[in-house]
Amino acid sequence: MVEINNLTFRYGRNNVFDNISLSLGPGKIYGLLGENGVGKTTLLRIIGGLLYPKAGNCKVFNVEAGKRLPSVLQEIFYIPEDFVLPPVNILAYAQRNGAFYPNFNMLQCENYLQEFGVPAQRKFTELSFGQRKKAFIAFALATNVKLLLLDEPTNGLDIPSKSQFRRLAAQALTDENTFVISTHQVRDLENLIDPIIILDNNEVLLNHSVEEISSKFDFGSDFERLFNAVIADKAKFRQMFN
Amino acid sequence: MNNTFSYHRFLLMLRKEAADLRPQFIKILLISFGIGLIIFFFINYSFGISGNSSFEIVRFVIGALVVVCNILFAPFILYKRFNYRTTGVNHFMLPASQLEKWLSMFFYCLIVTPLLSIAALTLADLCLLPVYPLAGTTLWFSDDSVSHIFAFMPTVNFFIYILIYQSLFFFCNIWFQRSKVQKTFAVLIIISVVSTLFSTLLAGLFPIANVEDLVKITVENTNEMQIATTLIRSVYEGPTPWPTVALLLSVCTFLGIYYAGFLKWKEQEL
Repeated sequence: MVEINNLTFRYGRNNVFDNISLSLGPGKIYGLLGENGVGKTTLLRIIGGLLYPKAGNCKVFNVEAGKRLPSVLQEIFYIPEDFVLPPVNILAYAQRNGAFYPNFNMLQCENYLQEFGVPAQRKFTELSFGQRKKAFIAFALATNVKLLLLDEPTNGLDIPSKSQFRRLAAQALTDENTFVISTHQVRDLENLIDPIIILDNNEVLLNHSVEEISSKFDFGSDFERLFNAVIADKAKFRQMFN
Repeated sequence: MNNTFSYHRFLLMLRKEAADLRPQFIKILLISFGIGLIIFFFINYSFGISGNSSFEIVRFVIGALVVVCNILFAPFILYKRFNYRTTGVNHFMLPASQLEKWLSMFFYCLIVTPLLSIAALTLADLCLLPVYPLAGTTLWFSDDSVSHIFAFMPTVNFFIYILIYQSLFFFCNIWFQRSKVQKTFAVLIIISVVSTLFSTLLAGLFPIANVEDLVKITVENTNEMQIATTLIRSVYEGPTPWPTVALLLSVCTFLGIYYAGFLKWKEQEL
């Protein structure tokens, strides 16, 4: 689904990725973890075709992501951490934008909105940040795209909404689609994300399923413990998993 | 699937943009309407020339200026934030082709915006009609309106100048990410300075219009200045083949700027 080969990316002189390779397959919810500034959002933007690699390539459905072809874009949805939505009614927005996505389901969108407790007839500008985010997530899930990129989806959500999000995301996952979730709030997404990708300065430190990691390192399903252990002794984990 | 252009997707794009841009359209309507009224009251009460032909000319010129300003500033009014990191994601990730998105921007900046301005100015006149019967003899609804419009109908050159400036504003809106308007005016100033220097040097090539004649603006050389200006004009606007060459160059200029803008926009990173 997503093939990243020898990708290099930098902002000016600041090298973010140096010759990284990564492969993301269908039917999984990838958890993208890493310290601040390691390039989680950058990676999502490169996959979404919003940033161009300086070297190497990033292919989504076998097409260069940067080409931004409608046939590829209609199967990708990206929810950034910060976003601005037009001052329109949620359902009207869903209708007009959903028309671009072949598998968009309006009924599904209304159901998701209802589950999140977001009033569908309200304008985005009349909602709080958390409600806007839930409305946007509801729309994104209803597009039924094959690749859903979420940047810190649980930021700004209240506690019940976080568990609703986990439930809806797990429900929406099929064998054909992939979710990539970048997060700092690993505890919010425990039991949802698998495999785990941990990024470090310029490289991918870890990209394995929870089962594979557990077989070599007992972290008792505590992702925060795993993350801290990886960051504390990178060399050990590099050796363990390569 | 056609990844370059689909009529269906283009219509969806137009429909979506029409809804998203509604607040900006209302702003254009209100500002143009307000200016339409202000022009009438300002000219009528300041100069008291309502009803005579000068009044109509001034109204037409200012009205046309409002329309032109709206066309020029349309990219900033409608699409200022399209390349911002937070606001641009929806635009670039929308499953429509680059060409469809570009044409949609074009449609709203070059067709819808002037139509809205003209509609608002007309509406302002309509509102004035019952209150000020004299307004009936003014530009938009006078008995002679058709003859007036034809009398002041802008030339092809005028439209080409507008398109050159519009393409430049369009380009700057894409090229710059912050302080777009200020930077656009800075670019205009730089272009003006460079083109003035260039035309001064060009004028120096002619025996009558040397650089000194163009720079020394004194009573003694006013006559020579006029001769020089006439000569330059005759070169630029004079008989064949120059008008055709100048026209072609101008058309190529704005088409080139629009195309450069398209290429830059295609490669836009967020």
